[in-house]
Amino acid sequence: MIPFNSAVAEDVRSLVQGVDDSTFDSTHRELCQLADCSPDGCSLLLQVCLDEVLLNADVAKSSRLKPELLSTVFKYCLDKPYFSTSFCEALKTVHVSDMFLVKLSNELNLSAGERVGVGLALSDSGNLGLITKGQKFSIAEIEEICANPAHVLTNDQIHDIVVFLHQTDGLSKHMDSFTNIISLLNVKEMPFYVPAPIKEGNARPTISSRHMELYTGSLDDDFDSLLSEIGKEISMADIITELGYGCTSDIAHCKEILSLFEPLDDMGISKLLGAVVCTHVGLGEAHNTYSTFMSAVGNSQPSDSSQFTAWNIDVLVDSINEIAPRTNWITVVENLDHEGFCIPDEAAFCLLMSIYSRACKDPFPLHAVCGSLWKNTEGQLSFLKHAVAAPTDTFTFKHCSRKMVSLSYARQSGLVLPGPSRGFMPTC
Amino acid sequence: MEPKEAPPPPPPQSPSSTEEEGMLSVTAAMARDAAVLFQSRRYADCAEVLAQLLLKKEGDPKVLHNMAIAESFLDGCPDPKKLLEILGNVKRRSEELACASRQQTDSANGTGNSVSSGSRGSGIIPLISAANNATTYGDEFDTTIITFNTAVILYHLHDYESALSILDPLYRNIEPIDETTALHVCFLLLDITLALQDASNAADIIQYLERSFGVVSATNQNENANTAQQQSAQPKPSAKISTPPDSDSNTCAGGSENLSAGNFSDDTLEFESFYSTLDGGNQNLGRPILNDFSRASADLAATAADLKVRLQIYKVRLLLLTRNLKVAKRELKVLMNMARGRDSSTELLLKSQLEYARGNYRKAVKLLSTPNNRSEQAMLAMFYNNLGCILHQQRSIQTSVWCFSKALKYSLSLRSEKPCKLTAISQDKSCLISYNCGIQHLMCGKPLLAARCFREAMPLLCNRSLFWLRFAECSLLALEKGILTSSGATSCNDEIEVDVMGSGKWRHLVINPVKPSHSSESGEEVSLDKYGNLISLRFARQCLLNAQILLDPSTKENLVIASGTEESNQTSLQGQKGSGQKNTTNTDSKPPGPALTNANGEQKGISNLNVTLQSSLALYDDICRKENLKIKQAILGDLAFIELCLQNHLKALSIAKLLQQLPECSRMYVFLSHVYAAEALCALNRPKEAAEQLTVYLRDGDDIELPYSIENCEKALVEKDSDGEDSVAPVVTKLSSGESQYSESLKPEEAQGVLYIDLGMTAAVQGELEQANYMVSRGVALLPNNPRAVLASVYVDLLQGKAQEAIAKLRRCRTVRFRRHSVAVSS
Repeated sequence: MIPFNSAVAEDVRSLVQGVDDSTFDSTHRELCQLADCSPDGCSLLLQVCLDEVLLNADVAKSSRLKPELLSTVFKYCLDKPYFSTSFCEALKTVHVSDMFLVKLSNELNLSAGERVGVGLALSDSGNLGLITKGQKFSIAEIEEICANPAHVLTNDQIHDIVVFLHQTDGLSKHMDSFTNIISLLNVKEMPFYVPAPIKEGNARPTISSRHMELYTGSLDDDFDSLLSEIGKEISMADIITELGYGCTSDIAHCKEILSLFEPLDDMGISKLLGAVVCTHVGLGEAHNTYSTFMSAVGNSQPSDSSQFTAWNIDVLVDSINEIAPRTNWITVVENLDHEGFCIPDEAAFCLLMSIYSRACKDPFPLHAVCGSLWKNTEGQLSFLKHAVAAPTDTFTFKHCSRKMVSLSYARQSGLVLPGPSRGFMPTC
Repeated sequence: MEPKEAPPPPPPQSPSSTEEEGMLSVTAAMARDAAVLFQSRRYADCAEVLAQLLLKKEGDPKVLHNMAIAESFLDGCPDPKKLLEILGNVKRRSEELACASRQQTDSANGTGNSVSSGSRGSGIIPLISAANNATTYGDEFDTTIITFNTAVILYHLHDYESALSILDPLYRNIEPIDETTALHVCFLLLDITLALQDASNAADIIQYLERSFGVVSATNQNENANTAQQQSAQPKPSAKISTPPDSDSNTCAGGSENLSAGNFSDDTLEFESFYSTLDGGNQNLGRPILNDFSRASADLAATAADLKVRLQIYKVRLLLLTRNLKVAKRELKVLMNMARGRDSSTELLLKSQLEYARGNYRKAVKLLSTPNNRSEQAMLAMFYNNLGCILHQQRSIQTSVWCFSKALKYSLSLRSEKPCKLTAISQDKSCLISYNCGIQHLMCGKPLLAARCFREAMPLLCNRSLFWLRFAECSLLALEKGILTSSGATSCNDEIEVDVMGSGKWRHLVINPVKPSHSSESGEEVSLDKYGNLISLRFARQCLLNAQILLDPSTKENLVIASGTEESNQTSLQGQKGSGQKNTTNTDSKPPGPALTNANGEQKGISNLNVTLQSSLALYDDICRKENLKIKQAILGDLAFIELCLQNHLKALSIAKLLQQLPECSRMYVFLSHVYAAEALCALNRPKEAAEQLTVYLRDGDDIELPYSIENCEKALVEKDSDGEDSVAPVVTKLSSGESQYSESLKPEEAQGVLYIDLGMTAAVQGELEQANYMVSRGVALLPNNPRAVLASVYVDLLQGKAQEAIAKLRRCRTVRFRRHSVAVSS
């Protein structure tokens, strides 16, 4: 990372010193962009702020808008997640006295929470003196907050304070005070949680009250919407491939499993076909899951599923037709354009054709695979690749309505094509 | 309920006015009627009688207490918060009255006239010694019962920490308490400590019960004799509470005890066995069904047997918690024999859990699939939850998700009626099931759903360190999947984009190592809408800090537990003395031979159990220590990664160093800490220190040793499987490819390659081009398809002025995509 050169610092300094009503907004935007681009930009900006606030505060020519600009820009930097890194870098060239942080905070009109943030930012400095000064400053500000709970703190600030009090030894007294006033602070966002120390005595009602608020705060609507989302994400196809070939051992078992996912829609069936086709080999290890699931959920005793080494397509199609007799197999084929669909090899292609021929007597809907470009282009290509190579008894383009047009086109162009009995890719 | 032990003979009464005597008789009779109605479960009538009683004894805390209990039983306690407030108020009033009564007693000791005046005002029996004893006894009893009931309600609300903090002082001062109440306190405390997985405290309580169990048996025998005598004297006793009617305070105290402790804690609870969390093994939640216990007054022999069965159930649960499976199996066999002839659904569930812990999933499922488990909503929720856990262990994630969603559906149906009753809240395991759902979605690679599941589980699990670690991992997974983007996380790109600008001899290649995308804020807004604050790097950081805070006190609490153990030992010694004395008393009334034999047998049994429990506790402590170490490593590793993503390099550096200083840190995390520290130091323009971080792996001749071996990876996997835990996978290093967090971690050779690349880049920054070229070449050899390695090599070539070689490397790389622009290159 290449640090900014001194020319940039001078530019920033002149911008700050020369700010007026007409240039305030544009200057503010530019400086914020500088803080956004990297921790180094933020560090440079903080250095200029420190110089202007502490060293050049009494220069007569300074603009009356400069303090406001510096305050706004500093607070913007304070919100950056890398503020502590940038601030420690900026302080390397500054002599930090005991009153440095107090003076800085006063000049910039920082709020109580922001002051604690500044103090905590020094905790990662390699300089032990800085760390100590930062801690003292933070503790003083926390005491001020405990004494006067009217301060407005953000959730992040509250969380940072609690973490600091937890991780620093000897601050249990402050921990008690701060814990007591947390309920007085206005906490809006959810989820919000600050780990509170568990102990007996006065803390008991606080703990109970907070626990019940958390518990009753979980509205049923949240759980219901969560259940709905989970239901959408559950995939029948994935579950059946997890259970393995035992699912199609016989029609009774297959129907029993499919009925768990009723109603079966064409999209679900389409995804199931895609999953079945992709896994025609290799699921031998799944019989444990199948026997576990069926012995728990099924009504009949499962047979030894380790003997099944392939899907039983007849059982599968017959079971689907019995459970969902109004299945539109044309739509099922059209829905093969879904994420994850792929024909890995010729055997998978033959399997898919067998499924379709048993399920539906109509010719294969060529428009579904040839009529448009799929979203899953790889899946479509994998299908077509095996379709053109398949023998005519497996797949054919004979019933394609555009065949004659292609032949006419071929004849006009003078190309010699194979005989009409051979299937070929039409020019679409 | 058991009839109370016969009290001492009533003290002789002094003469008193007829009016006062009549008043006491009336109120005592009404209190007795209320107690009978409560035991008959006629709560409405009981409330009416108590209301009338309240008119005569306005503001009496005992009557107020009993009224609140009766009303809560009447409608299922729809407002537990209100009930807690009432109990708190009654307790304070009781304490105030106790102080006032003591003052009056002191006055009574002074003069006869004062005694007479005091008795009229407060209703205390006007006898000096009797009044003093009655006051002390009643107040102690009253506060005990109120405290116990408060703990019961908190237990039902799943606020186990608060219930424990309230009940523990009661347990440590358990000797003065009535034995029946003491039993309830111990059993409730066992349920709470087992729910909190506090094995050592649970073991202490079990040992205490073992020592005092003989006392209980002896007492039951005495009561049996008393009952026989009563039956011979009165063929049809009209009341089971044998209390002198004129002892009003005793009657109220007894009534309070019956009304509150026994029925409330026993009848409204059902046993459920949940493998509630996939992390940290198994635990049972809920309490056993012991309806027989409430009928113990009719069958004292059954009472003793039920107590033994119940204690045995707790023993098995504790042994399962500490994963002492051998002894658990033996004790479970004893339990099955004890429970023969009775409803054994509880025992079957425990056996199923034992088989689950042993990895016999098929057998566990068979035991789980009993008809009892499918008869009602709560049992169905438990059934599907347990099935989901078993399928999870068999790596069937999708099916497991389906099971958990079914469990959640059934569990949520318990919330359907409004207002939600206390029993429904107690049986509602939605938070735990939601947590299990979240774990599964993390493993499926669905961080948004996982975060929402964890959000719903927060009320119950917010004090678990591991819970917050999981919550943070949702954001890390979202970052890896591109749902969440970070301007600083350049490692997340899987492709190198090269823009071709200009044409002819003015053609230039512009390499964009950072994929152009919107900022994380707009990214969140686009895809996360109202749940956006669940998935963000800043929220992940807060989660990890929460996890860290909750984990650190565990070490301190170990010390606290140790001191607690010492105190508990003292209590046990006292209990032992008391037990000895009572045994001696009983021996006098029995033949000496059998008594001695029985005593010897009991002593041996107790000694054996103590040894077993101690070894179980030691084993469990070791397991917990190892788990906490793993969690700590994961927390620090994730936290350093997030700080790097947020470009807070100083913080990342300090955290990485903390990780290095962690004792017994695994070699994989040590490697990650060095890589993270080096990256932070580079960003802070301290390349020499960065190189030092990496050269710890440098051997002679510029060869880098493997940072860890295959055995380290395999060992981690084996440990995961044996512990039945979810993986705490190492976080993807920023300079390595974006492998899935839940697939295999970096292979040792890949880690070696990362070190070569990093050292090369460090050397390049320092201007040592020859060294950089050598190191980067070695790294590319080990990681040929890694985009970061290719970029590093291209960078070094460009530094050396070899533009053509750089272009050739880009062309050979499969992850490079050339895009042509029509925009002219400016400047």
